[in-house]
Amino acid sequence: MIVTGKSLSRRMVLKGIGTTIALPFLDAMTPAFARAADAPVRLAWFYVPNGIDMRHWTPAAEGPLDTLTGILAPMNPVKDEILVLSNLTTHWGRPLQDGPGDHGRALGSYMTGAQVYKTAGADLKLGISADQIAADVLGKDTRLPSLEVGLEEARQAGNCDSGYSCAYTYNLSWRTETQPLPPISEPRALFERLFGADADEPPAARARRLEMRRSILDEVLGTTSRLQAALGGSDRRKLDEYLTSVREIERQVQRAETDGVVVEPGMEKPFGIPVEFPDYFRLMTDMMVLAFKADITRISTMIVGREGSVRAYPEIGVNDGHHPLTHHQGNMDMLAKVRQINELHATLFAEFLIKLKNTREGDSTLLDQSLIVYGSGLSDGNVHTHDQLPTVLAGRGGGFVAPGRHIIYQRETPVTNLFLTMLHRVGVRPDHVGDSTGELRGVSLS
Amino acid sequence: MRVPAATALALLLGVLAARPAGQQAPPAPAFDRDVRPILDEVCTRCHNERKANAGLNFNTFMDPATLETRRDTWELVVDKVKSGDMPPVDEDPLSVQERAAMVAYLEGAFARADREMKPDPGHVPVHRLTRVEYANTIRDLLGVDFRATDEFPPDDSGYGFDNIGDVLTVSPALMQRYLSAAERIAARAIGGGPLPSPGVFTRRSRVRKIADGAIELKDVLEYDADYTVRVGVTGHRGPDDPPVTMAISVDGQAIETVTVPVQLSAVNKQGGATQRALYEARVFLPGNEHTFRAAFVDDTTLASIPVKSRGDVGQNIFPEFIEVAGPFKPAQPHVVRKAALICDPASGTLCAHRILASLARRAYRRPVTPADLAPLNRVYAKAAAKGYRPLERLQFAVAALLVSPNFLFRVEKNPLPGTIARVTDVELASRLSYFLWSSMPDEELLRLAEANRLHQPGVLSAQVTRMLADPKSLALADNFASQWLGTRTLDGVTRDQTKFPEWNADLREAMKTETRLFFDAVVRGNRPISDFIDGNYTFLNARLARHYGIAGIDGPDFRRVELKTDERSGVFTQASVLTVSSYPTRTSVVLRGKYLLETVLNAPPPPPPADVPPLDEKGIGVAVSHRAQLEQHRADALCASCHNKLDPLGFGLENYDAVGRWRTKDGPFAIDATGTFPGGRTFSTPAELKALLRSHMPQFTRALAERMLTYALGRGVEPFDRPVVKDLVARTTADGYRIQAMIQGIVASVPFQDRRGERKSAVQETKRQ
Amino acid sequence: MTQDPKQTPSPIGVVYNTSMARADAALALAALYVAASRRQARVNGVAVNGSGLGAAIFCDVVARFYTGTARTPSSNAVLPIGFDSDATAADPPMVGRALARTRPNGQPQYVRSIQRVSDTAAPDALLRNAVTLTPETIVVLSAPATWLAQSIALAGVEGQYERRVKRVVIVEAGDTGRDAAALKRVAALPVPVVFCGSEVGESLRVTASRFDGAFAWAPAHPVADAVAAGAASDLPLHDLAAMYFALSPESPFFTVTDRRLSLAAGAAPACLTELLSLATSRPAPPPARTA
Repeated sequence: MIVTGKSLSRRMVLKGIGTTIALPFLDAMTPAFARAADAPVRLAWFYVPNGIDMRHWTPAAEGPLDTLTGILAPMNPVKDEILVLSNLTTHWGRPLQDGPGDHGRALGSYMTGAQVYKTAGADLKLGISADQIAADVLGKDTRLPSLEVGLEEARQAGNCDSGYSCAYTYNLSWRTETQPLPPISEPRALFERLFGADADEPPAARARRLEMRRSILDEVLGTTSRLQAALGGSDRRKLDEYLTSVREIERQVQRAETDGVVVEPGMEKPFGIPVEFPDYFRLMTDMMVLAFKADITRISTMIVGREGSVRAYPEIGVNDGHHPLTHHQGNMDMLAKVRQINELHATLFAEFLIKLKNTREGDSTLLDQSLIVYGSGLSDGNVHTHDQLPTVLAGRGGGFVAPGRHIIYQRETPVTNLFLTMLHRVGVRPDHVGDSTGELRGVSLS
Repeated sequence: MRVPAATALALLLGVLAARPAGQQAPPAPAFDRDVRPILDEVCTRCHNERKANAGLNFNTFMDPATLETRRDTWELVVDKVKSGDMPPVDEDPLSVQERAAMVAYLEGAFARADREMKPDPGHVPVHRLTRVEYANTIRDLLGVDFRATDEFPPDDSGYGFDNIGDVLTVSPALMQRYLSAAERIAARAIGGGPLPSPGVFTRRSRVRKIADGAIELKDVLEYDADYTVRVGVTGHRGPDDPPVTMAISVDGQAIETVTVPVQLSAVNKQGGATQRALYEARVFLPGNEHTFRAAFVDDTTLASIPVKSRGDVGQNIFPEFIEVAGPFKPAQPHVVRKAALICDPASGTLCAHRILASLARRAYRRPVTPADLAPLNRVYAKAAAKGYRPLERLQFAVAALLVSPNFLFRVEKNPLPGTIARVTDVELASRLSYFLWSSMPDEELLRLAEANRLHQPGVLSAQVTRMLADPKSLALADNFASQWLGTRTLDGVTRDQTKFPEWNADLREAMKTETRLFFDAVVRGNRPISDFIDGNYTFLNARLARHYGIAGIDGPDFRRVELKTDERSGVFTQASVLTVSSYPTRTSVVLRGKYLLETVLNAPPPPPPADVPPLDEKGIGVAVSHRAQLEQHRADALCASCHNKLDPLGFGLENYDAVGRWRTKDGPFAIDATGTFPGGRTFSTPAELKALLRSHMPQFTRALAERMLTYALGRGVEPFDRPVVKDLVARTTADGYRIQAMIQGIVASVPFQDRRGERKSAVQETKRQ
Repeated sequence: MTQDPKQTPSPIGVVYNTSMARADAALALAALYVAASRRQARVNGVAVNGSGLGAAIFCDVVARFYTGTARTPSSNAVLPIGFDSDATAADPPMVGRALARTRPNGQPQYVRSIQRVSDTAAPDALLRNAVTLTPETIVVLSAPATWLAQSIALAGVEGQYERRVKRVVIVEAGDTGRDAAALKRVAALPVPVVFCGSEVGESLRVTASRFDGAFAWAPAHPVADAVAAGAASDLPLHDLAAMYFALSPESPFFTVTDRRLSLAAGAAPACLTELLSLATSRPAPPPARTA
């Protein structure tokens, strides 16, 4: 499909740099689906780390949402599109005799509902995450089965939290119980993932280049076969592995020749990680909106910060690291700064929701067609509690949800019940998602 | 004599009758006299079917034929009986004569078996280049710096090294990377392709602070083009402080000097500095690794700011990050000579073929045939047909070269199945260069190989000497030493930030560099390998010297330092080794003991039993000393059989904390570094421990020889390599334990020079598609 | 090379699924907390089904009373009380007195954290979480087995119950047998299951007067209130016997034949004394924290 770049007026200028980041223009784009009835439901998860100041999060009453206050206040413009869900739990985030390491467990168990095997080595073991359960079934309908985005450069090895591998604290999505799907944190890499590395080349030049690539691979196949003839058993097997890989890449090149989103010339790729965090957040979420709008994928996850993140937010005057602040031991100054960080994240998320709301899809909007979770695997970051988690579900899921309410569940209700409900909405019906006990009642209209 | 004569006779006859045909069994009476009775009466008390301690049942070892089939276990038996570990002290001890007789018999049997063994060079399957080897080869072939560690996933390891032929594979994901890397490298080497759209490809995580007010970034730029160097400065000084001058330089040359006002940010109402000043400088740079620095010059105000506050944005101003954006089309044309272009491609196809032929010979590391060149020339022709310009066509052909199996794999001809043949000289050249340089053979080596003179002993040893003297042999320190000593894992190590606040990326890099330079010095100076145990010199910069408490070293660069105290010597008390053998929060006596046992004494301990109770970590250093807690290991004779060897070695290193600093106390407890080697000799300081280790040179030499042989061959050491290892040890010992003797010995050995042929698989040649 | 050592194991965990309808259940709960204070057990979780919300609030009150946590625990060490929220059952009479009791200033006598159903925990999740909280668990069931059976069937715990549950003690008195199919599923678990028949409790009857002064160590005690309200004349100690056996299975007071619990001959008086002593004792003080 072609994405036209009629209006290039949308640029973001960074403070003081003098160079610009130009982003494809969401407004001028032709959406993938002309009628809402054809449009599929999109699923997304936003994870914020180190817990949230819950005193300023939970709405006072159950039921229809009044004007939101505290950390949820930035979401007032979209208050009728969100559900605030209280009392959800990640049981497998708890220590359960494994000792310290709540951050590794919190992120690891959030989307998987599984116990995190405590290791700092390579023998990771977790479970398959909810988004990948969906991607397994629905992924073949889109060019990318799913999209993992993050705002911190991912580490995959080493000891990041008291004996838990960095793979556990940096990854939200898990393809299998041993294989995480690392998020893309580099704007340019994300762009290239969506549009291809040579997407800004004119189509004719790109086609020519792909054909050359195939010729090269053809020659390699020929050379390798001739080479194998002269070799013994184990040598041939080694080259067999090589041959198989070359053929696989050749197949991918062939696919890329016929398929692939082509972008009009003049569209510039983004350029490095923006210095200011809000700009970085906006840039990456703009591309997520784009991915949904162009139906490049329907499933996405975003790690706003890895668990245990020590990022400071000088843009709002918080120069201390996030994680140390959340171990405030009751200190009011530190608590106030934690709240500021929570509010910043909520503000940026609300902006994202508004962008989705302003993106039309037939007679509906992209937000109406989505189910987006915003939450964390920790509630009180100071004492590391894994229940009564902050959770917001945004969007209507294509007329599935009646938002604008605060629902309080019984305690210990697994957060994976929410994910199971979302999966059922998109027609994926596993028995369970991790430790789910059933669907969440009260979420859907029916 | 424990066995009645009649039984002995019967046994003798029985054993003689059971001797396998064609095999010279050791004289049976000696086995029945010196070994069997001991097995029967002493060993099988614990090592029998029911109570198989350590999984051993000696009832199945009564037949002398097992000396060959279960050789490894018998070697273990010799070790344990010789050192007095077995039988355990609370069982019936053996008399000195009984012990000596048993050991003598067994060792004699081993020696006989080794002598009769046919030399077997083993077989390594076609050997893919590791990512380090790939990067080095690209550098030497095309003069292009390519950071393979960023682009390619880590290689799988086997036997402790990542260059094991059997283990290295090419997955589709890796193939994709090879293809994309080949295209980019070809574009850089030929310089014909279009510049990609600009971006920021340098990583902020690479920026290092080298002094107060000075930061540095070392990274690779891919294209010859204009680049914008951007420096971010943040912070705030007093209103009366003068502005400060900052110099931005590339590779030591200043490209821009700016004046930075010191009130960068209006301090906002939350008390934070929210803005940064960004400075840019535009410069043309050829694609390769460059060093970028941003440093304040003549910063007189700095002295008046206390050291603690120098990182505080409210009190001081400092450069925060450097990044490089590009590539941009050069404002002025620059000509960057490309080494690969030995003639002008614009002149025609003939020139292109010449260039490709010369590159192929060096890339495939052997003389090339028309069959080798045909695919490359076809790619060139196809590109021409599609309308590409000459330089671009050449780029495609070079990319094809770089994904050819002839480049990515070291291919060696297969001798007839089951036979042994010498590898050809060109194959030998590759083995040699990848062993010593982790890279391709250079012109001299290749010419000698093509002239079929390389294998001549005099020529070969002279080449080894030359190659070791070449700066490229630093690869041995980078690749062999870092894996042998385990210091490569430093990249993934974390330390508890509250206990070790000084642990950061700078310290980690400094530790790695020290060990790297030390190993390189031993190789280059042909020092004895005992220097690893107690050589009294090392390489330090200011950061590391401060860490060690050694005064008088300034500046971020490393230089050789002669060590004057007993605290440090050799490699095993360098911070790198001490750090990788500790936990994030504390030292580990057991880990360090195991490390020394494996690396120095060539006696790796068996794994611990399954039901070991956990150590009470909270109490260490608080309620009771680490040492006192581990005394539990002595309580049980079974635990003690391993831990009597492990713990003393670890205790001997307790003076070094989990980041390798010297200490005399652990919390409130004074460090007690005394220990007893089994055999009775004691030590009470690390220096004395090293002296004792030093008396185990045969074991250390053997351990190092096996590791280095593994690395050189790209396969694990097998039983049939035993004579080779013995020979290496003998050679090295005879030359005063000098390391080059070992290296020369490896190069001259049968497994390095020969190759065993393999059967072709029963399945027919793999069909295409 | 960087494996962290495991922590020392904790006391065996106990999961109590009760309808909290009779005073002996209150006594069993008290006994459990006393044992926990002596580090002989750990209260993993309490779930209430078959009764109204007041029963759950009562359990919460008793928990706080014994563990001294005044604030709402939002921690991983203390699970909330499980409660079957669909039930329309009424509060058991015996909990009323304790819950209604006030201090002179009009505030409720006993601190509680449950105000409404959403302050209680979903019973199947709670039971599953409680069983998996420690490597070894005991389950005491004296309520309809519906939720316990459901938690066993939850996906993701295959094998966990078999590995962790050391024994299950089922009290037959009361409405435990109301959901026969569920009870069968629980009894079919491949772990030691013991049935405590009504006859055991009947042979351990006490009169209300036995409790005079037993709780004198506390000026106001919720279990004392429950006993006073619940015991008309005398009280069979079904749940308390079952809890005691669950905690000390090797006790000479009891024998088990063919999965059925019975009182050893002549052991009734001594057993009674022991049971009451456990249930009415003052809890042991918490261990001093090392500096």
